[in-house]
Amino acid sequence: MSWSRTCLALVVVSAVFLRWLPHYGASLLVLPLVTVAAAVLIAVSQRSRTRRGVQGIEADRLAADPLPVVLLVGLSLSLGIAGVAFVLAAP
Amino acid sequence: MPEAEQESTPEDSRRRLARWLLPGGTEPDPRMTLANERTFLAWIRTALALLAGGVAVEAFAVDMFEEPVRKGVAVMLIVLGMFVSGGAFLRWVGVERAVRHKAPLPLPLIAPVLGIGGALGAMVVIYVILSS
Repeated sequence: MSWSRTCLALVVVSAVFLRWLPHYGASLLVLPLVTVAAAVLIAVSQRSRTRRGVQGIEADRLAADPLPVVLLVGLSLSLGIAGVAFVLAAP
Repeated sequence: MPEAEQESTPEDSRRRLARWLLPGGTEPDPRMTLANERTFLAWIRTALALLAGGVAVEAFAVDMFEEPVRKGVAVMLIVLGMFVSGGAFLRWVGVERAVRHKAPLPLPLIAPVLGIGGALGAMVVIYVILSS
């Protein structure tokens, strides 16, 4: 459920960036598209992630996977940098 | 709890990023790993909410604040969100390393930073509203 809620949060953030669409034009769509793509990736991988967690609990062994963590932090920081840039440049 | 913790095999089968970020130690209780991940995701959602809030302040508070104040508050919220994101990642790594090495958990610093940052932002907004 945590990943699902995060997925929804990403969709909301992508929608918020559409606020600048009239000013910056179609080139701005890269941001919400990347964010929605990340949300879709999270949704699509949900089943395998759940299965991995269940198998890890059953086997009493689960190696932490830092890749999704790193990607999510990278996306969040990138959105922040883009947000600051757009806020400062907006009319 | 297992009778004996499973040791990392000599050929650590984890991916390279995991071996680099989380070196050594032994695999902890999987529920600790999953709980750590859930906490990280909660902080990320907080960061995303701050990010969206900062954009919303810039977009929808046009009639409430002067432009420099509006942009300042918006940037402050977004930067705070970025700090929370980075802090969430450092916290995730710190906790995961601590449980792998059976060490004390690191001191959580995101909460006081977020609390102080949020309080400062609220004070700025209150001051601007009262003085307008």
